[in-house]
Amino acid sequence: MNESDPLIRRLADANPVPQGDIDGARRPSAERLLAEITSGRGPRRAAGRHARVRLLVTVGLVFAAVVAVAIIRVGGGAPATAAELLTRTAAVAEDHRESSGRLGPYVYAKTVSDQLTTSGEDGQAWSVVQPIVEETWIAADGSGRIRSVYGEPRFLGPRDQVRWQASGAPEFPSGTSDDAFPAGVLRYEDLESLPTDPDELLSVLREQVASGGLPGDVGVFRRIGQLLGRGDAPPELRASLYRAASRLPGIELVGPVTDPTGRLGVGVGMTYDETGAAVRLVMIFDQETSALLAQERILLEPSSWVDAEPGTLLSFVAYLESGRTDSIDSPPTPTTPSRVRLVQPLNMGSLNGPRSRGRQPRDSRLHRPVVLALGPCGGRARNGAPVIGEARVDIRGCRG
Amino acid sequence: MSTGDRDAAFEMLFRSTHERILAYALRRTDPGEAEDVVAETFATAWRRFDAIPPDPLPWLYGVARRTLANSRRSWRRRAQLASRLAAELGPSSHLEPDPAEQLGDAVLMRAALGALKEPDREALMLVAWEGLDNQRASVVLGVSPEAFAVRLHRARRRLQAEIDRLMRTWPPGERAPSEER
Repeated sequence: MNESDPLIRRLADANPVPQGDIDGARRPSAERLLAEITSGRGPRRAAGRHARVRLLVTVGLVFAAVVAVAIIRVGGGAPATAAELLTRTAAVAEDHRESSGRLGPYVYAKTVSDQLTTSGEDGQAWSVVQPIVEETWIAADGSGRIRSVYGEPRFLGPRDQVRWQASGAPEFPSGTSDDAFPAGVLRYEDLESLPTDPDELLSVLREQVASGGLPGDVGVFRRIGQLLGRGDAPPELRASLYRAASRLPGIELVGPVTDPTGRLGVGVGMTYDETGAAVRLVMIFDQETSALLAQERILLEPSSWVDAEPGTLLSFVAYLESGRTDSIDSPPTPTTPSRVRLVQPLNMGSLNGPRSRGRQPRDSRLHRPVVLALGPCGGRARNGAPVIGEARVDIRGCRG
Repeated sequence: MSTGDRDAAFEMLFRSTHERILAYALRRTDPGEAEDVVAETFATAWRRFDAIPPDPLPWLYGVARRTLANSRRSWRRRAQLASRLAAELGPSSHLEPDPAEQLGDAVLMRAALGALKEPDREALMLVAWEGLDNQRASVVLGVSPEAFAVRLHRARRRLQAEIDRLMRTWPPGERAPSEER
């Protein structure tokens, strides 16, 4: 009866965990659970499995409390366009054959991010930002560990808070979750399988994003950022990723910026429409090492789904560490120091590349030269005062 | 029943239903919480072993559902279901890409499902994802089979309406399901 209903069949095809899809990899934890229950001890409850500890330090304190005024220097003349900058960085990536350290079974990555979640009914949509520090260890068999530390959620504006209250003030995740996963569960990105020819790579990535995610070129752009965020990608692939990005229509030069953790980099962006509001996705990288520092989403005009001023940093992910490691209990050694550099002033005028023909950012400060501060709140997005576009960042304005 | 018999019977129940309960939880929340839900569900089954009906699966789904509803973290999953599916930059999913993400239609279906209220969504999921017939699904929700049939019928209609609405604004990165218009 139900099976003959085409709508139910369509829905069945959208089953995220199809019947019989859970393989034997789950067996060890199932056996453990069975033993725990029948031994009379009862299963280890959430307290043991995911200790939720109240956060004592805010995310911002993860970063060095260094205050510096810095402006970027571009060697060999300023690139005139985003494509030129990306092509140059591709060459850097190709030459950057720094030893990736020990080879271990786990790909380790540490990110800090501000995640924006939108929910609510039509006309009552609200958004909340929550900082998350996340470490992942993922092996080729899909086993691994994910450790997440949730920071204090915050609303970007009062309207969101009111709507959150009206929707019953749902709780947000807090504390720390730390989970080990058996084989077959986690997603191991096989970088070796990606083509190193930029055009071929571009078409593979287009296929990948066509099946979900942000649509079209902005989806490809974001995907490139995610792959570059994997510090263990081979130089040829990194170069190809930068070249592929340079071929995307609509890429814009943002210029020298600090990433949300206060690291100095250079930004390339793409503006797109997100739920009726122009948003710019920015990839920030270190052009001297080709390392990807962060991706950011900046609101360019008022929206119905988040109460924030144009120019607000909505969300970001900053890539802090990445590499291979032997042990699921530790990051790769030695710990990569965060990139903090002081560099010379530069005339930004020449860095302003072609802008998208579509919506223009209303906040022209987005294109102004930036003076950067690396402060105790380096990792924090400041409400209505994004890192990008602020001529000066007042560190006293930081929260936490 | 002797302790040994009870142990053996529970073990049999566990082995025959564990995967399904885990799949149920994984369809509704993140893996960490799913494992908690499974653990809690079987701990309850152990404690209330004598109360388990001859057809244990719907009963277990019902326990899992209540456990999930009480869990604080399910908020996050619900919010994710109902919110923009694609635009987020944060450390989103490290899970194996699920089939829904491979297929535009599956993403659409899940977005539409996510926009429904919980009772409607659960009715549809029990039928389409757990593959239950109306009778067994009604046991999970603790209603009569007739009441379930009515609920499913309405939920189906609302799902179709939501799909139609989303189709006008698809894909989600362009216009979110939660958008106000």
